[in-house]
Amino acid sequence: MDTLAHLGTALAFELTHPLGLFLILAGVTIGFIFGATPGLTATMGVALFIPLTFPLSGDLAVGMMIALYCGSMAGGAIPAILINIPGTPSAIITTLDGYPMARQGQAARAYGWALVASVVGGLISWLALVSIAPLLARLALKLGPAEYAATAFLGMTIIASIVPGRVVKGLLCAILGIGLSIVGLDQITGEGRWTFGTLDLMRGIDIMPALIGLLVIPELMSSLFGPPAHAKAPDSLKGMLPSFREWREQAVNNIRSALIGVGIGIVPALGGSIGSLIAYDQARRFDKDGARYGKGAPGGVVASEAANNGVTGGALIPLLTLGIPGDTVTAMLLGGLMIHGLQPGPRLFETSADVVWAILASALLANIAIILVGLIGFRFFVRVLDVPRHLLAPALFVLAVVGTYSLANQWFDVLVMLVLGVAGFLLTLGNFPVYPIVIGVILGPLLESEMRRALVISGGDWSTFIHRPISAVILALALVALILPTVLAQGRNLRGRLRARGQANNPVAVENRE
Amino acid sequence: MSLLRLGASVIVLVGLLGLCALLAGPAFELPAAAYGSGLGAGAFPQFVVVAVAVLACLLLVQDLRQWRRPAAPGAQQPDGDEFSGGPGRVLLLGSGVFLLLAAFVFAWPWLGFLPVAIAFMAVLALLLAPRSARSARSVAITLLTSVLFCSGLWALFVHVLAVPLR
Repeated sequence: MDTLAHLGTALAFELTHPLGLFLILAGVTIGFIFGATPGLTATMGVALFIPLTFPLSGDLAVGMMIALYCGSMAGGAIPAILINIPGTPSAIITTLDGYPMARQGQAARAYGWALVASVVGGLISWLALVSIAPLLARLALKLGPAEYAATAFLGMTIIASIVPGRVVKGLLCAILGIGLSIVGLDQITGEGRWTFGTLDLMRGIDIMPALIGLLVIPELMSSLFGPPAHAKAPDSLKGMLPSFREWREQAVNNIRSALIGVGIGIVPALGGSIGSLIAYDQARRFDKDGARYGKGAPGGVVASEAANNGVTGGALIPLLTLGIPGDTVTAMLLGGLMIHGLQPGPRLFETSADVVWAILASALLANIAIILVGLIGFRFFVRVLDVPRHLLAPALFVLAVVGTYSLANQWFDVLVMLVLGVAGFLLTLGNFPVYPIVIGVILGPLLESEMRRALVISGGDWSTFIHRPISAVILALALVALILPTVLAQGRNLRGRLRARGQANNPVAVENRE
Repeated sequence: MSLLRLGASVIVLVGLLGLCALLAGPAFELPAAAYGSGLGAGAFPQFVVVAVAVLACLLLVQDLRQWRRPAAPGAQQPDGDEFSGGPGRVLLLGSGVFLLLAAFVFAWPWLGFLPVAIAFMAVLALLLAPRSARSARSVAITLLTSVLFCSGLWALFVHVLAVPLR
């Protein structure tokens, strides 16, 4: 009942404020543009538009950013369907059936299915967000410093080990992130750490310049090496949206895929593309027309789009309740929240309840706005694909520089962004996952302060992390997260080697099979 | 692993080892233990320096072994190469863009934001333009877009968001 009352008040407030509604529509539209343009991502969109929200209050600003996030997830389907290039990484599965549908003259139909599935997926993920987040926040309030430190450690290990075959690189990057977060004055003793006597370094490395340098600059650089994209909108948009009867046939697929997306979104670092892949696989198994998947089945588009929009609400759950961002976009949102004076974590629901509920109400309206913006703006979003890359990329570089400077009016922040941008690009080239650095920068201070606090309380007894049951379980999970991917990868490699040896020993059988 | 990825990986790892050597002194000057609390201001910096150095050495050995030996059949391959155009183009274009960006950042405090931003955007756009977009008309459009975009951005930040972009 409490939830409904809070939500009702927040929704009434949002609906009676034209500026709030305008910002949600603007956020979804900008999101569609970033999603529909291959090479531009939701992370980039949120990062570049955060500085433009300075004059706004926290709820309006973060509401707009969430709208941008939701819009970009839905917009990614446009190039995926029309030109077989996913606008966002999470739309890659949409190409499997969306593009074949377009080649069969059903581009508008595929887009209609994508829109409906996105909205339903977004609404289900929003429902999960408003039902789970307040409960989890209340539970998290009961955790002590040892459990917090263990949770931060778990977040880092999951993210460091999630990339198959790159666990050591992920771990190295997460520790590098902790290293970046250390620079500045020690939170407890006030001693300078790696400051080299300079005032700028004593201030520490702010999160946003680090995030823009590590995430946006390498993404912008990578976009320079992608192929140019041109598309043509379908001649007729008649019959674009499926009827209710048609949707009912896909309802189970739509809801199941959205729930898969929510689940994947809650686990840090898995992200929309994995959610879409799992949902697509499940949809193909359960659909009686499973054999048609990959050849232009609407069910494939529905599964992919419902799941990647389902991820949005799921990823916001650990962000708002524990202060752990689920993906790169929510890492940017965390920066945005902090710039507006909001500290994500369990206390957020107590200290800034009005703002949180207003943000959640904005998320609902953003998901509804997707269908409106997606229908009206479709032809315009297709034209966005024709904007010359050689003009777009330099403009975004300028925006990244100005945006970074405007965070604190400090030229030093721009320098940090530049240095970390070069480092981020080199790391990307060297096949290092950059996201663990980001999570290290964000969770490093939490891990250190809570660990030190727990040790002060226990009188320096390290066994406090194991004797407290919740902390012990979380640490055990962290250990499993760290070891399991390596064990699985070793198992796959061993199976591959055994198969290769078997083929080498029995070449006749291989020839016959061929 | 492609030569580009291997080269970048080795550069990163050697750079990290250099960074560890630079940061080890200041890290070990700080106390790792504090009275009554177990952890001092130096504990995390010391952990970071040692852990990064150990992991970087491990990865460096792994990289060099991978370079000398072809990958085992059936072994997991790294992600596909998303950088089209070959290592030469990536190095040339990548370093060119970063040099221009660095020139933008360092010239800004001396020459002022607007002229430097317009010059950066125009030069980078001309550098990135495909051959088909290098006619006099296209160059004029590029210059005009740079002037309009940067001026608009400057006006937005200075007059609406009250950010002093000098």
